[in-house]
Amino acid sequence: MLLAALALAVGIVTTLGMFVDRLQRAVEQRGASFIAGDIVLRAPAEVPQAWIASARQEGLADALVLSFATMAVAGDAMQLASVKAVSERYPLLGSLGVSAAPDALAAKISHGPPPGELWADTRLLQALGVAVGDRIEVGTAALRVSGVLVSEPDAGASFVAFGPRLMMNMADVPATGVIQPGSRAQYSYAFTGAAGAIARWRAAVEPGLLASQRFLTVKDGQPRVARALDRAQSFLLLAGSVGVVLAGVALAMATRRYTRRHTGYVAILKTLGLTAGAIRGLYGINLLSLAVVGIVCGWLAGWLVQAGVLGLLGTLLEMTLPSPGIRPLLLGAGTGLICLAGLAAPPVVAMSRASPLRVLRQDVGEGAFGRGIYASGLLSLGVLLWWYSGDLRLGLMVLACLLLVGGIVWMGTRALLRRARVPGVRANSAFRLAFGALQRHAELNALQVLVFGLCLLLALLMVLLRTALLDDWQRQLPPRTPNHFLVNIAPYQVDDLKQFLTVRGLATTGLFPMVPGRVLEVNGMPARPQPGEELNLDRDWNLAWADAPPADNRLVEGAWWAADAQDEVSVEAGVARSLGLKLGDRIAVQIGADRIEARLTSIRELDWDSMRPNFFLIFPRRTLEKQAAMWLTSFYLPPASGPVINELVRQFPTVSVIEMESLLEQVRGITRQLSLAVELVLALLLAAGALVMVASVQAGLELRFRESAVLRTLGAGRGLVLGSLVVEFALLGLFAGLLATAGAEASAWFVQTRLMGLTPTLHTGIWAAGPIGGAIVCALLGMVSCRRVVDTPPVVVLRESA
Amino acid sequence: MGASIGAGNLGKDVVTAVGGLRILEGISFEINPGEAVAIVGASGSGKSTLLGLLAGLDLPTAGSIRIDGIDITTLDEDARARLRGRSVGFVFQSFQLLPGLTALENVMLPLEIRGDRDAAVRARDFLGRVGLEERLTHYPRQLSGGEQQRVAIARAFASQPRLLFADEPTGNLDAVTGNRVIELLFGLRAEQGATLVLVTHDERVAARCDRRLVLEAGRLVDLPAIAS
Repeated sequence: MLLAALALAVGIVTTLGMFVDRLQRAVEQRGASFIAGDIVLRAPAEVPQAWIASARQEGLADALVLSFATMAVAGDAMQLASVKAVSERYPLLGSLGVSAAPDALAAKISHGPPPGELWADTRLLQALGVAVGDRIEVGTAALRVSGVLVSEPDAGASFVAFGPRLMMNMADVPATGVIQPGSRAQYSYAFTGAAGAIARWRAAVEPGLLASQRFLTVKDGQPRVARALDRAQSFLLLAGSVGVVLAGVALAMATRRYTRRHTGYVAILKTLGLTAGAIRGLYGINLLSLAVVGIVCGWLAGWLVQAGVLGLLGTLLEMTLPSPGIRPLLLGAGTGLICLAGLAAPPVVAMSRASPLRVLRQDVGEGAFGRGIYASGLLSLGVLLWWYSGDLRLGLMVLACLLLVGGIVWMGTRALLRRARVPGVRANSAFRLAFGALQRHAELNALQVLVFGLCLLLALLMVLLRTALLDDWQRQLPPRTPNHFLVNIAPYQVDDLKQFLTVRGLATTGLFPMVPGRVLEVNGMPARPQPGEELNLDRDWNLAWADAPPADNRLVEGAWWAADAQDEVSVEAGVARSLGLKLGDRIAVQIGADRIEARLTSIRELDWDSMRPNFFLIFPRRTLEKQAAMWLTSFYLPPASGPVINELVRQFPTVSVIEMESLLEQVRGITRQLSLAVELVLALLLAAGALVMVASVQAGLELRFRESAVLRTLGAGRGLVLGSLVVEFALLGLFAGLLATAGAEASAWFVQTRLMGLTPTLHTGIWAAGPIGGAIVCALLGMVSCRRVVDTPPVVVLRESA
Repeated sequence: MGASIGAGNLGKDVVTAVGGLRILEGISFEINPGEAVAIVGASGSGKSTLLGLLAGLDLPTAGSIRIDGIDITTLDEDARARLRGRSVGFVFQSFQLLPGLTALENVMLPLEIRGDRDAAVRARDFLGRVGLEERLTHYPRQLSGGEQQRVAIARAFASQPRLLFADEPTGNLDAVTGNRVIELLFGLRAEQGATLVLVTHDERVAARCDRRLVLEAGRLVDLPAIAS
């Protein structure tokens, strides 16, 4: 039994560890593929070759992407294209989707087009009226179209895609003659390699960076993805910690049984003349060999489970998973050894002090489970959690929660079950028999509720967090999120454009004028960010005017202005905080040659990820109307909408279209994968919880066997006995479920607000689902586990217990 | 009035780690209503197994067992349990009291199982008859061995069984306590007229029965009935 529990503990931690390890590394790689490298150095011109050389010396792989805008020409047709010239090793991470024709299936390719060829997206091919195999002129070079570019790993990270995409080989760039000294272009140097090497190289290069050169990681390049990754990792880490706790619980229960059983043996050994020291030695060797066998079994089981699950479901994840590292194995073995040392060794030592008198009298002190042993068990669990999460605070927190919840459950159950002891067994109905049994086994049942409650709590908690995570990811990118921005709309085009979109049934997020301007002063003093805040005041911001607040903005302070207001301003909450602004402050802005001063009358909160035009500063119409403005809007275009964009560009040639669909699709893709990973880990965790619950039922089975045998000897039918067992377990489950629900709600609130930075929510649903689900799960568990109890002939049980 | 028991060509095999093991073979006998019969024999001769079969606590591999003419080997587990609840009482060597129940509750148990409304009253009455009226709310662990066996006897007789099985009822008790328990057992039996089948090593206990069934290595040995 101890061996099984040890193997279970090691297995749970190893499985979850490998799972989490592989997924985490896959997720990191997936994240890195968003910028097509672990780190990207971005610059407006070539960087010193020495930097690249030193990176290669550190063992880093590198690739260069040169982005620029230029006219693509085919016969009479012309189109401004976003060109991406790529070096030989691009993309270092992730892959390109390239198809042979606009409607054909895309193949995954891990290199760019060869010299002399180019790949273009469907929009460019349509705009120029060319097909695969035709030639397109880029500057002074003519390149053959050899494929349709469907997806790029770093679509969202590079240079905003103002026009349709054209990808070519770096070797053809000189022939185009487009890139001259001073040309507007962006050089992105991507690097991959060991984390340590990257850090060393970055530290060496960083001091020499110019203001225009900067490093980019997933965090800067894709804050949205980085946040999703962070939260997914928190979840995986927490899931692993929960696994450790479950493993500890399983082992503690098994140890309790083990020492109970062996205390009698020890007494016999002592009467035969063995000293306490010799007994400790004997059991020490016993435990050690148990540890070895248990760890190996656990490793094997763990490896098989994770390999099986990932083998079956890995393809759904659409990621290549790195093979499992050594860390999960060490973690599993460490868990086994630390648990054994902390949970099993002390009771065994205590057991060695058992009185030999036990041979004669069973009621002589058991001498096994003292307070010190619980303390050492908790301590070792704490050490494990700390080691596992690498976060002392998290470890302590989980431990404190456990203690608190455990204490409350234990005391509560005992008080409840001990009270109102009514004489009699009430053996004439399963219900009454079950109620009687609940009280009779108060001690055993309190432990059972504790374990059930803990397992259910952890399960519910992880379900809640998973739901919160998935909802959050879903909310970030609801269906019909705007996927096209239109910028540089001249004032005279506004009405025509509105009509163009309305005719095609496309709803915009509203058209807003953009006026470039710079914040100069606040209350007559030069504007400066508050200490610790970052805000770039040295560049033009896009200022806007509006009659009403944008649809998704919320006023958190002040009030919106009246129609004829003048010299007022509404500021976004983050900017207001960074500049330390409050209602009534006077803000001066420079627009071209004009200086405008306005009074702050409202502060707005908004969601920067909403894919809508958003502005730091909005003024009343009368204040900005006379300033030269270009307009901006965004709208959702369903993916299969035909050549709408090409029509739009033909009718409004000066309007720039920024396509976000591929970026959004990538973000959706990764959140989909993360969601699946989270679900997988959750399922595994629930299975582990169920196993621990089964183990806990096994612990009380002896007593139930004996009771059932006596009851059946005295004339109780199988139905009555099994029925009462099921009712008893259902009631235990109900109670455990209720306690677990309360605990899960509290813990979820804590984790959501403190660890994951999510908005906490109250989960009314689980207050019904928790207790009822607990009752059903435990009843089933009791029924399955206890079938044997009523199926064994009573005489067999009675003889064994005699 | 006691019940009659008959065994016809009874056999019992069990499967062990080293292969099949024949515990009982070709056992046939009749016990008349109201008779007291001792099953005797050496350790391991199959006495307790035979008792378990007669009581319907296990099923034989071969043969039949009739209680009042009904073959209980053809009944299912629940029907056998009902039969036990209605007309069978038990006294075990290791008492088999439920540790979580008080003395009173242990005696009430079979009465409650068959749905008696006055279970508490009758249980109290029988505990009084075995001299434990002061110990009603004690748990088994708070009682001595002799007291525990007296609770078990009160439990066995409280449901006024027509058939009583006793498995080494004095096996775990000292001579004086054992005698007291045997007096109670035979006294109450005489009052209620139940058929008694008991397994014992104790010659004096066997001597108080109407006759003996002697088991040797799983077979019944012919022995002339000894009148008491």
